[in-house]
Amino acid sequence: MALHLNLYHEIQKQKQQSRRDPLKLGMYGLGVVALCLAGYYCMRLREASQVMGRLDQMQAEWEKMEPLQKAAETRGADLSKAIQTSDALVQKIENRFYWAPLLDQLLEATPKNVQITKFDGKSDIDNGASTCSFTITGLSSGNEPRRVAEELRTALHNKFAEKHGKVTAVFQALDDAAETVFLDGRPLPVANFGIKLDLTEPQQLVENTQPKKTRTR
Amino acid sequence: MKLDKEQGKKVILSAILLCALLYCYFNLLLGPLAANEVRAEKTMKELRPQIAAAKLQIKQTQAIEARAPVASETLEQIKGMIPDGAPVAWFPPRMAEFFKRQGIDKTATRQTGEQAAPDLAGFKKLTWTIDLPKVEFVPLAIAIAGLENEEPLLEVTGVSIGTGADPQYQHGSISVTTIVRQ
Repeated sequence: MALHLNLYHEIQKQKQQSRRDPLKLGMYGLGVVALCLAGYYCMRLREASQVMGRLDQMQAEWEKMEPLQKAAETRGADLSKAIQTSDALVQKIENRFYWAPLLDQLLEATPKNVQITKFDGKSDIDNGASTCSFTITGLSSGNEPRRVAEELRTALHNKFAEKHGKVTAVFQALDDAAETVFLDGRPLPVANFGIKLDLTEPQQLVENTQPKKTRTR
Repeated sequence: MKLDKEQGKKVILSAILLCALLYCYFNLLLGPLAANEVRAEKTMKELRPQIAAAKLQIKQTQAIEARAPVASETLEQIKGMIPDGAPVAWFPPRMAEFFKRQGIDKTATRQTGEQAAPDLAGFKKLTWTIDLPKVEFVPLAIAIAGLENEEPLLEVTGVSIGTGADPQYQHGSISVTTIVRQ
């Protein structure tokens, strides 16, 4: 068997050592890590630039919207005020208390043997309800003038209760008078009366009507 | 595998370099990037509701604008019913003329007060007393009906009628409130 001598073993060993040089391997590893880090950085940079792009877009939109919003706010406030005023005016016009129908009903309810000498009334609209109170003073005549006055009070109460929500009718005064009056050619005793009526009704549109000219006082 | 002295020095140097590199990478590159991103997200989070509110405001104003022509027209109509100038200059003659048309010649109108109308921007309420020394019940009632129909901005708040000095006639008095421009 021939003797085989490796005369290059030192060179080979050196080459092997050079191949397994930890510094070189470390540098390779470092390079790989650096590449990974660079890749990750690029990815994050791309994400960040997307976010910044969205922000820029949003800021541009806000810059465009902000003056429009301010103008809309001012205009909206002005228009709302005008609308509210207009609505309030219409409400005030439509929810007025109309006296003409009341006077018409009073005429209808008053019989011929009653003479009203004074009428005094006030109306008010408060908290969504309209109230009216009035006092009528007059003379009632008949065989029983007090009964005539009571019939008038009842008739007024019933008449106004038909149209108005809550009605109270009370005598403020009812006295027999000394004098007599002639009605249909007969002298009749007379009573002086004063009746106070309070009407309360919820605020609503009341139809205005002119009093009929069929009866005169 | 054994490192010689030279290699050992190189490894330590490399480790130091690596540490420096990592420090720079995280603090000088990734750190500001992440901070910028967080700042941008925060700004966007603040802007989003503001933009939504602005859009809503514009939409609401558009809805109000759609209602506005009717209200403006009504307001203009109402303003058109009120003559220019001081009410004390035009209201009493207007009442005198109205009652004359109704057959009631004698009238005396005087202003009794002024009321604030907080719900009516640009308007105010004036109260008046119209004195009618010679009237009868039915013509007065008809005149009141006419007044209520012809003058929508006027509200009768009180009516008083009774026997006066002249036994042939009654004495009437009407309290009214009118809406006038401020």
